[in-house]
Amino acid sequence: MATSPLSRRGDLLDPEVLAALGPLDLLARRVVSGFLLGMHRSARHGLSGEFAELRPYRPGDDLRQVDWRMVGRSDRFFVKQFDEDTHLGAYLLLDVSASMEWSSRPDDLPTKLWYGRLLTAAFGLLLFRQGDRVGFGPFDEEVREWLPARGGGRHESRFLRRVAEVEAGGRSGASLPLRESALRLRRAGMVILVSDLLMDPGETASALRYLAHRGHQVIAVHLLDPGERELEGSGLRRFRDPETGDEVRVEVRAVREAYRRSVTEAVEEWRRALVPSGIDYLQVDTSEPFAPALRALLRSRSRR
Amino acid sequence: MTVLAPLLLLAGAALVVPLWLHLHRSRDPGTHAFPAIRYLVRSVEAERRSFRYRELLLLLVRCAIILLLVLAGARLVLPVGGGLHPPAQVVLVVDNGIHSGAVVGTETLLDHLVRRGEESLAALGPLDRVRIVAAGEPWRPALPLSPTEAVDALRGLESTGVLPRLAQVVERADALLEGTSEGPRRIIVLTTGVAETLLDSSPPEPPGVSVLLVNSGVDLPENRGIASVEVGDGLVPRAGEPLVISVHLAGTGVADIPVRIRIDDELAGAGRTDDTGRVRLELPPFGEGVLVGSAEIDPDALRTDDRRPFVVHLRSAPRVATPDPLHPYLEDALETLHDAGRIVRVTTGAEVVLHTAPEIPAVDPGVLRILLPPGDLSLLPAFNRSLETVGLPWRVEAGGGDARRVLAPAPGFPAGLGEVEVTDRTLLVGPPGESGVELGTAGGDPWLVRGDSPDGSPVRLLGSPLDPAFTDLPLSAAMIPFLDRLLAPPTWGAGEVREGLGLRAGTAMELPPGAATVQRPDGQRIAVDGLRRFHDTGIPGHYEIFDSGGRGQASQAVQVPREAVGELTSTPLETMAGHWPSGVTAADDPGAHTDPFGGERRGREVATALLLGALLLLLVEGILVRTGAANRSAAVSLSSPSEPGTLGSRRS
Repeated sequence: MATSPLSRRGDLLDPEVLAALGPLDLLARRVVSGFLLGMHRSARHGLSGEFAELRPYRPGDDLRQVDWRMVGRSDRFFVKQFDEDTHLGAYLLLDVSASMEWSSRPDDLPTKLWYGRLLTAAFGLLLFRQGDRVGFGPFDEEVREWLPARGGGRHESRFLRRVAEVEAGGRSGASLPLRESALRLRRAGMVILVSDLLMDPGETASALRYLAHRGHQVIAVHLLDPGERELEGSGLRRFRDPETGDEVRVEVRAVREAYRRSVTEAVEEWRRALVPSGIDYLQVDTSEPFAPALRALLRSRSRR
Repeated sequence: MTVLAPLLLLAGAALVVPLWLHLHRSRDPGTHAFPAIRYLVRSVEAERRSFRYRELLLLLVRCAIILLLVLAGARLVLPVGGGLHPPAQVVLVVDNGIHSGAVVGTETLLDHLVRRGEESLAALGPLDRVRIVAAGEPWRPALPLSPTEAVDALRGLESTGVLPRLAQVVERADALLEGTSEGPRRIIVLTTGVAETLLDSSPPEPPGVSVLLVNSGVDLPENRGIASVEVGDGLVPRAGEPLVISVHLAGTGVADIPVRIRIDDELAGAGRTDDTGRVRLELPPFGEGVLVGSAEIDPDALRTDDRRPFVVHLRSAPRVATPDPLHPYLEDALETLHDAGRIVRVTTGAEVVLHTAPEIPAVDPGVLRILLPPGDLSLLPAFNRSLETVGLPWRVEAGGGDARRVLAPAPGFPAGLGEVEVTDRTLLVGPPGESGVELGTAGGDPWLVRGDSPDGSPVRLLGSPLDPAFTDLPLSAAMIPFLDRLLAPPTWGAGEVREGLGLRAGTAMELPPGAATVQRPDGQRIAVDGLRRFHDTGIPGHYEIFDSGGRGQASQAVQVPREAVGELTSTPLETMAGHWPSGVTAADDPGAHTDPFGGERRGREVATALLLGALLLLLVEGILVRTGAANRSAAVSLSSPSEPGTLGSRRS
């Protein structure tokens, strides 16, 4: 008996299935809730962002939270109190350039922008759930309009609405938005870049490394449509870049293997440019469910 | 190396297809939006050179396939295995006659023909045997030669002044190949393409060996000559009257050509021809006597008839007596001539006597008698008896009825006679082989004859009375000029020259009575005592005849023989080939003469090998395609609206 998509966890549904189930905010909540349901422990355990203060131990407190150093110095039990409300400032930068509005299978596979919006919304909700302050910056060559990093239910709604409203257009360029986000985060925070990374790798990697050196937790989510990973079709075709209008005429069969190598090399170049600087580089296939991306986010978040 | 079906080489144009596809890929593959184009550019760049080489290789393979198929279709023959055939027998007929000396550019036609012959000989093998037959040097021995020896013999040929008879020469060449050993046999005729070389020959038999006609491949130069000189403007020239001389040129480029008239070697008049090549010159009056003159034009490349000699006997108006009653029409015509001063009617002392009665009285020696048969047919027996008395071997007989016949135009007579009809009521009957017919019907029956009576007096006899009941001549416009010509005493040596008629060099010249010596144009005097004909007329020009006392008796103009005119009127090879019933073909293809045996002696056809090669290449092509090398144009273009044609704009 087939399982109805409605009865399955949203984070495990394929995007093409998920896309038909409702508006973005609901889908994001469903993805996140489904994801959290899959966690064995409360999301709040160990997921807070920053240490806030020490308080006297009370029965029932988790012994793992006891600050044994203070016990040694004061001979009293203190437990570490973490700031679970708006302790972490996070900015989600979503690439909304023209290249994002593309799908290799427009009939069934959502565009990269749709996937990026949902992933951004899910990330945001996950961070909201932890009490983080979440900001949003949709960008092409520059950020169109900043949504400041704040917390609270009202801001969460506004965040979801803004994410759902962004439209694709313009050329890609993450360098300026990334540097602006650094200015907006006074304290060490988190910057999540969601993009297809079809932009200048040198400048973008440099900006990401700059953020990392400023003490921010940086996550680069590289969205790849399956049609971008693997050149499909056959025969002579003329391909046009929707952002620049550049055209290339190729025999698909002839370049398929070389293209595959080229994409692999590009991904490796991103990884080599980012990972050594402590930047989490996450490659996401837009035909895959959201759970792996969310898990990676939590792993990255938990390292703080 | 040659091909047996050269037309199929046109299929080689199919080579354009892969070249065009390679160079101009115009088909629009359709545009697809693709954001990750930077990866594509990167991959294309990496593979670009490799793809280019593969594309070039594939192009070469495909072109080679087409080339091999085309050559196989055109039946390529390579010079291998030719020795398996028996030696070929070839007769190379070269027209080195009079026309071959014409200069075209810097070479003669013969030079061009020799070159064609060398090209034909180059296609032969060392065992083949060639006989060179020079059409301008009849009956020289034609020995079988090797192609190398034949080339030497060919180069040794020189132009002659002989008019070749190609039909006869081909017949001889055919005879040379009779009984030769087995093997391909061919007659190659290198012709100047001049129509004259096929004239005057009866329809030839089809040759037993196939004959290939090859021309020089060059256009014949302009060539003109004097076709006719007519003195007197249609009437007999008279002393004391302006002398009108009409000259007609024939050939090519005859318009606006200067023509000169010389009388006794002095320039007497000159003019230029009109568009039809004719000029009419009016010279001042001359006195009685013999005028020796010539019409001439500037010499051209070849023709020898650029000078025509003529002799004119100028007399005063003849004194004409008409002792018998005349038909009123005839009487009126004579009066008209008399009034115009063309004749003088006399009763005594006449030079010309016109008889219409059956009885013909005797006249003084030298008097011309014009005899007209009586209109009353019952008097014909008496008239015939009179003819016998006069010594004329002709009779007039009553014909079968009123059937009418048209007169045939004749030189010296008005052209209007061609429309005049005569009835069959009277007929001229003469002994077989008798000459002296001056005018006849279109059917060839004599109507006006001349002769001499035993005393030497000239006689002219008409076939019918000049009566409308017998002929409509009295009613026609030709009557007056006809009478003018009829009443003119005979002059020895015609004053009129027409193509194909008159005395030509090499033909016998009749001598006047009492002729003792003849002086040729080269000044040599030859004794002709007692002879009635002089045969040594090989040199064109003026011949002077003297009596035994050394006095000038007469002059005769002798024209260039037709065979030596050298008329360069070209004719298409197909027309020439059509002169034979069959077996003769024209080399329409400029290179046909280089393949006289159509490949049968040129080696071995390699179509099978070519097809196998094409199949092998097809296999290679398939492998290339299958292994990816055949992928057409992996990256053929990159264009950018913002930064056209640069990869760097997108390259990181």
